[in-house]
Amino acid sequence: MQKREITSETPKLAHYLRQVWLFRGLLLNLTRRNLKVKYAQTYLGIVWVLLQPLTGMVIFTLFFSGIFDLSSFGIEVPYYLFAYSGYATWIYAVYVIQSAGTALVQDETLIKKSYFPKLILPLSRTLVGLVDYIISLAVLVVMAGFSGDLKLYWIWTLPLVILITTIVAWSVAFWLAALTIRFRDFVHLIPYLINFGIWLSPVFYPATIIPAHLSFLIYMNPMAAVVELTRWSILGTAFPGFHFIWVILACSGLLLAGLHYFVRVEDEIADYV
Amino acid sequence: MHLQLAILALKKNTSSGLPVIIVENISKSYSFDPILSDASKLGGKKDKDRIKALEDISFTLCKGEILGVIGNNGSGKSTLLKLISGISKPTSGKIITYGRVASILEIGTGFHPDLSGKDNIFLSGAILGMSNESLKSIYHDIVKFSGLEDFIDLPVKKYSSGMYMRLAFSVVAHVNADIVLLDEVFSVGDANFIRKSEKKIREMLVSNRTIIIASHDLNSISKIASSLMVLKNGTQQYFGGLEEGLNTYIESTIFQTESGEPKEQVLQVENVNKAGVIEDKSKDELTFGNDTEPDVLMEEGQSFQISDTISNIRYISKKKTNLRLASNTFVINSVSILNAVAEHVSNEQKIDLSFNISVLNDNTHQMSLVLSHNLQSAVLTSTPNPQNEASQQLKITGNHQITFSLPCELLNAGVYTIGLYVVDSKGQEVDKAEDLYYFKVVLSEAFRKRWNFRGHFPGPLVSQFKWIVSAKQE
Repeated sequence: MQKREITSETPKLAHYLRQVWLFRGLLLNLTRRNLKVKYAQTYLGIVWVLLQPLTGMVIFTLFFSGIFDLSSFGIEVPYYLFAYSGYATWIYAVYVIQSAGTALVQDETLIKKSYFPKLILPLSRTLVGLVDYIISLAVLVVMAGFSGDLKLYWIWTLPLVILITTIVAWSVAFWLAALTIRFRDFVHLIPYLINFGIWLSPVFYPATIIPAHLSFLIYMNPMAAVVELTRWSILGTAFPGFHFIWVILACSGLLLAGLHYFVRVEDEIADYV
Repeated sequence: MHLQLAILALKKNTSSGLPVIIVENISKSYSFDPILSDASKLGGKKDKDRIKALEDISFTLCKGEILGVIGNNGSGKSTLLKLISGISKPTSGKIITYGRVASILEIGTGFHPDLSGKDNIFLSGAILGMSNESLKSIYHDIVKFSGLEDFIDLPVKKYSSGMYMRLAFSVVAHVNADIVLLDEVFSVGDANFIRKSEKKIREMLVSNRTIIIASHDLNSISKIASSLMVLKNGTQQYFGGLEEGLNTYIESTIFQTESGEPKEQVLQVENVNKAGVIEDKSKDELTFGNDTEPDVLMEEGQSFQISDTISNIRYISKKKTNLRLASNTFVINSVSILNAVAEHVSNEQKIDLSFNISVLNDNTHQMSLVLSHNLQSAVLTSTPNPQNEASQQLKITGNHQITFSLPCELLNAGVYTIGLYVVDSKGQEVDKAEDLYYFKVVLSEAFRKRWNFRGHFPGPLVSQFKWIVSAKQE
């Protein structure tokens, strides 16, 4: 029979993650709920998933292909594909950070009335974002296929690239989720990340806009590498170099520390959320 | 000594299975201010800034046992369940559980208004720890139980609140776990559904689960629990058999002063005929502590002789004396019970209640006596016939002694409280005094033997009336 021991001590991370795995059924059910609820009672339903990156694509194309021409900075694919791919990736990372950061507060009653590893809550939000992201990438593949810009050579790396993007988003998201339990200040930090972060990431402009000897500056932002990796994987743009290794190492470290912190404050979630 | 025997006899046989819930010295305290609570850990803040929700609770439950946890609001019932379920962590101490734990602290946890009934069943079930496979296998039972077959694909926000509750309860009623923690989930939905759910809960109970129920509804707890814990301000006041626990709780609830000190109904002996009997009943032996004698004493089989044989002993309540009713028209000087020891009476005994009342001015009021069972609503009202002399007497200034006799074999086991209501000549309630006095009725051993019955009779009254059975003529 399953034995459970509850003390004031914080469980080991590995033990905690095993608990999360045991509750995977709940994770899937919550994800299904979040997906259904997100588009419940909407006329357009799942189309909304696509409207956001498509709108971004249209606006960026109008401005940076029409009014200001960025194509001289070495954009090797049609600008609208460039903008769409960047923006879709950006939206995914932002969604994970934003929804995970507020996930605990949103499901307060669930936290107070039932037992499960609370990491499930930000995780299920991530999965919702992932579903949206995969749909919008599928549309990108279709668009690129029509324009003849789809490069199949590196597309097998796409799942890995998505994983790296997810790790980058998680490395911030779990910290935010855990810190928000006590300090709601961090909820207010999220719009800053989102509104100003896009300017620091090569979403609508190429990283080559910055002189080569200063390019390390832009790659200090982990989003820069993952946005460019996504483009490289689907559209066959120039490989952004091995900055991503640094990104994986740094963000994995941050993620691990974030998880540790999350598990440490998990005991208090039900008391203070 | 006899009294303790009596109480022991009432204690239900507890299951002797394996322990499945072991709670060792758990305490829980919260900080007032979440932001500062880290500082308090570092010693910057002192204990005074922390709320102690639970202090040093220990107990063990064996497989199949049903523990009722009772206490006032804020006594720590919900905190205890949250700690055992793992929702919240203890500040100190240890809890060990064996088997799957389902905590039902609320009906409809996780229900989302935008989701269909079906989706909510699966979501709510998953939150209760059930796997998708097992949910699929009981899905139709749940829907059938709820009686909402026609609406199951509608979003639950379109449901009436009754339908919503029915669906939510149906999920809970089908929960499949070794240990179930329930918090005040009774009495939802319409009467018909409640009946169905109670039956379902009892079914769930007999299937050898270990259950902890927290409630302040004595009735629902006394119906199903086998043992009881009384919590007060986060401390464990009592843990043990149901009957004695109920008594402890009721006494601590009704009979305490504003300062929280329990008031006692004090023994006064009048007209003692049998001197020997009285010598045995020193005050010490008549108080009911938490300690119980070893079970060996039960062998004697003489547990219930006391109330049958002793007479002419009177217990007078010191509580709420000089209580003024109906703008100083009546003063209740004392209430007492005759022919009983320490308010413990047998159900086979006539119960005489006596009120010493001063009427300060002539009036037209009418008085009624109201009896309540186990802190629940009134179960019996008695009023003298207005044409009767007794009724007239109470309208005249002076000191009066009212004696009120309850027939034998009327009341069921339990604690009864007495109130007096004053009604004016137009039938309007003018004033009332509740919980004036209490006494405890126990089913006498002879009675139990005669009916060969060890369990509980439901409800506040047990009476035989007249049964006629004759062969049916075809």
